[in-house]
Parts: sequence; C-alpha cells; structure tokens
Amino acid sequence: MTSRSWRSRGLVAAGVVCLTATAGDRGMEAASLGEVRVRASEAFAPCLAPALDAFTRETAVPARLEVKDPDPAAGADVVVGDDSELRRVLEGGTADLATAFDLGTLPWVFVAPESAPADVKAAAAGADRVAVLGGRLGRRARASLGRLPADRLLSTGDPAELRRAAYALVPRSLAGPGVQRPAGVHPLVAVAAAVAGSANPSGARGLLAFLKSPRGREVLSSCLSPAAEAGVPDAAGPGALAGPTPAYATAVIDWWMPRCSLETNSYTDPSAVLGPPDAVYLGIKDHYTGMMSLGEGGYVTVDMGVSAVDGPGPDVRVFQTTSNEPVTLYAATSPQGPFTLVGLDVDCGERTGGGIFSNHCDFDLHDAGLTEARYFKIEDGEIYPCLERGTVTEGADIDAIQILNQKP
Amino acid sequence: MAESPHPLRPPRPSGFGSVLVPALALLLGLLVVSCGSSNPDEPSTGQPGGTVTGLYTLQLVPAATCPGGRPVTFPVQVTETGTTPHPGVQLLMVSSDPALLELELKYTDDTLEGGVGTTGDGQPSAEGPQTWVNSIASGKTTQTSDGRGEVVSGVLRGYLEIEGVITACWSANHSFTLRAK
Repeated sequence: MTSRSWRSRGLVAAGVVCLTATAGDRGMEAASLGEVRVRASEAFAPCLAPALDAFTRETAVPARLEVKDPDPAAGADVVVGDDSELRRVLEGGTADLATAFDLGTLPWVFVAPESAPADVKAAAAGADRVAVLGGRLGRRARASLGRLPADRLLSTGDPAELRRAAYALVPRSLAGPGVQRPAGVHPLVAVAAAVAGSANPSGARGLLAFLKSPRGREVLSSCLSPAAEAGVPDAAGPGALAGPTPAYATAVIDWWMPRCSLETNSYTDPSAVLGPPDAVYLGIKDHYTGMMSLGEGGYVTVDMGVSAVDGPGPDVRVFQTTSNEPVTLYAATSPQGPFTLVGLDVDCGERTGGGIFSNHCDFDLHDAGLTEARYFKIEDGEIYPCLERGTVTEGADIDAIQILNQKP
Repeated sequence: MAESPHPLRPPRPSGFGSVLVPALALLLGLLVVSCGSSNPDEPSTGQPGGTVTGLYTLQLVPAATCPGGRPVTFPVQVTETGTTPHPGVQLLMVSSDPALLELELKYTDDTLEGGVGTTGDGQPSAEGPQTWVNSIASGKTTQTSDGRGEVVSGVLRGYLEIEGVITACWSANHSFTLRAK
C-alpha cells in the first residue's frame, strides 16, 4: 500500500481505545477534570494503552486514546508521536513546546521466520515481500532496505497487516510472531506534549505529570526504552568531545534563503549561528532567540576560524533547535570552495543535555574523504514547501556549529 | 520574407513565391514575438544563462541506486523572485493546488540551486504516480533560441519516493531537467 493510501486507510481505520474510569472517593474529585483525549500514531499506541489504563485506574480520570496521526492536533488534549511527527505541531504552536518531553525511544526490528538468514538485508532479499511501516515515520526504514524493488515492499500503516507479515520491518511495538532482529534503523523518539487551547488543560497536565513520574515511566518501560539507555542524551554537553577550548563558527561567509522564507520566517539573521549554542525558547509561542531558521532549502556558510581534522569519532557538530529537522553539511578548505558533501539530510535531533536547549547531529570528515576543513555550508534538509508553511520557523533551525576534532 | 526572431532557428524552405506564404510567415513571426515561444521543444543554443520564466517541464530522475526508478514529470510555472541576498526564482505546479510542489531556487552564475519540496501528501506526476520529493536541485542553465534559460542536466540531492516505482530513496545522485515549453 502506498504512503498516500496508508494515510487514508489510517484515518478510516483509526481505532479508538476507551479506558473507563474507576469509581472511588478520589475518582469523584478527579473525574471533574473530565476525559483526557490522547492522540498517537499506530507505532506508539500499543505503548501508551497500558500507561493510560494505569493512569485511569490510579487517578480515576478517564483517558481516551485515538490512534491517528498526531498532526493535526486539533481536538486532542495530549499528542504523542515521534520527533518528526510532532515537528510541525510544536513549531507551529498547535502543541505547547513548553510542555513537551521525551517518553523514551522505540527501536525498529526486522521480523522474519527462524529459518531466514541472520543478516537483515540477506533475509529481506530472500523474502517474497517485506511489510514496512508506511508514511513519513517509515521513510528511513524503507530506505534502509536499499535495493529491494518497490513491488516487493508492502508499505502500510495497518498494524494487523504488519503483524501478519512473515517478513516485516517495524517499530518493536508492531512486531508480530517471528524472530526479531535489530534493524539498524535509528529508533523512534516518543515525545508527548499538551495541545494548545485544549478543552481539558488540567487533565492534560495531570496525564503528562503521570507519564513523567517514576510510576508512568515504569509502565512505559515495557514498550519504550529510556532515552538515556539508547544513548540519546549527551549529558556532558558540547565541549565534552572537543577538549578545553571548543571551536565554534566565527564568521558568516555566505547565506541564502528564498524570498518566500525571508518574508515569513521570524529568525533570518545568519549571525545567530555564530559562537556557542545559545538558542532559547522563551516560553511563548514562536518566541526564540539565538537561532537561524533556514527556510525551504536555504543555507548558511561559515568560517570556523580554525580547521577541523579527520580524527577519532565525529569531527563536526551542528546544533539544531527544533525536533530532528534534517540538515546537509558540506565542507571546504577555502571560502570559495569547492564544497564537498559530508552528510546528506541527516536527522538533527540527538538530545544534547547539559543545559543546552538545542539538539544536535554529528558529522565525520572521513565520510567525505576529507582530511581537514575550515569552511562549512549548512543546508536545510527539511525542504518543506514554503507556501504551505504553518510556522515562522520553517526549515532547519541552526543554533551553532562546533569543531570536535580541531587541527593542532 | 520576415526574418525569424530566432537567429539560430533553421531557415524556412525556399521556393514559395506566392504572396500568401510570406504573409503567413509574417503573421507567425508576429505571433511568436508577441507571445513568446510556444514550441515545447525549444532548441537549446548551448549558451550559458538565459531568463528563467514562464512555462516549463520539470523532470525528476531517480538515481541508478534506486531500483526500478523511472522519471516523472510536472508542468511548472516559473516566476522571478527577490534579489536579496541572491536573486532567485520560484517554480509552482500548474494545477489547482500549485504549492503542493514548490521549488525555491537561487539563480546566480548561470546556476539554479535550491529546494524542491512536497508536503507529506505528495503530488501526482503527469504520468500518474504520486511523488514525494524533498531535495536540493542544482544545475547550469543554457539558453534556448528565444533567450530563456533551461537546465538540460542537473543534480538532485536528497529524498525521492515515487508510488509503485521506487520506495524511499535518499541519494546525492538523483537528477533533473527543467525544459522550456
């Protein structure tokens, strides 16, 4: 099934799980909060259902789970989705960024009969057909299957179809019988947030507090991996890999964004990418400081003042503020170029920690066959049609660029 | 006989001595001058540059590493946009919802470069299959015989998915053409 029909089917087949309240003294008081409506995509619904059940049991506040794309969020009190699914609702302010937090990560698994080869690509190559989660959530997974022809892929959002398939590449929550193997696809990151203008804001706050509590985490842990275990946060923060004097961008060499984006984005000052990461969300919809939103396919080229070298591990880090908006990085030894592609459309959403608001993504000069570089071009990888925009922060939001392996 | 407004267009066949033929040629010439080129296969002069505006056909060609890929095309309308910080052009689908496939390109040094994007709903191609693209297009322009710029061979870097043809495929080696109509 195609992504488009997947979406249509998903809407038509959207399941609703109703969790009923338990009567009790505490329940009488809590029930005045009213039902909390939670919207989550197919991948996260199996993880959330037991948590909502526990919430209702323990607080007597009814919670209703709607299995549906969390974007748009209208009509829900709380949305739960992958970073990429919530990108636009959080950027556009439909959901309240100040309430957003990570619930955990959900790994991808390749499900195959026991007799199939252990290697995922070999197993997929031998399958008549491989079922893969459809839609934007499944993009990276489908791409990971490489040379598998389109007619041997079943791209679907129907959980029953995914669980029935003898061969399937799915988030672990949608795996059917069969042997599960690590799929080598970056895990989904479950994010929860309250919907702005919700009809039940106190209920939404109560549910989010429960999901964030040790009890909520305990229930979710049967399905989601804690983010820390998956290595997502870098609690040490920037500079941890760079030694005592981390180097950040010192000058803007060139930049461009389309006129459409220039006219509609609020953060178009390229100098905002200079220096260490300092982007901050001010707690009011669309109010940030310290970042540049690149717009549709825009870029900024910077001089680092010193050169990065191909050393152990990644060599360059880009700090990107909102969710995991992808970026493309090019590098050069001269401001005039030529600029060599280092990483294409890299999801830039690794949690940084250490008091840094922005997320980040890392790049290795080795991937470009470069031994050193001083000039970097950072290009938007989201490339969302500007005229269809819903936010004032379209495109990847660049906070800073850091050298991790500096030339002595 | 009226001179063709396109100096590199092949000369008309000789031997038509009647009055009617030059008159028709003159009329045709005036129509071409007043309306711009209506030839869907405007010959390229090979000269770099040209004015990128008007109706074009955008063709997206999946990289060889995307199995089973075949090109898809879209009719697009191109308009010039701002000059700050660099001049650019905007390409929109010729359709009832043009913004569902939008190209925002910088146009400097006879090179078009910038984003080609669809929303999550994608956009049907002229051939039928639904197409999703979020890529950076980059290509040198050459002039057609009427002075418009077009891209005969360009590079497309990023994500491309064509319903029933190729599954999600990221590559730095997709390609595209933008031919004047």
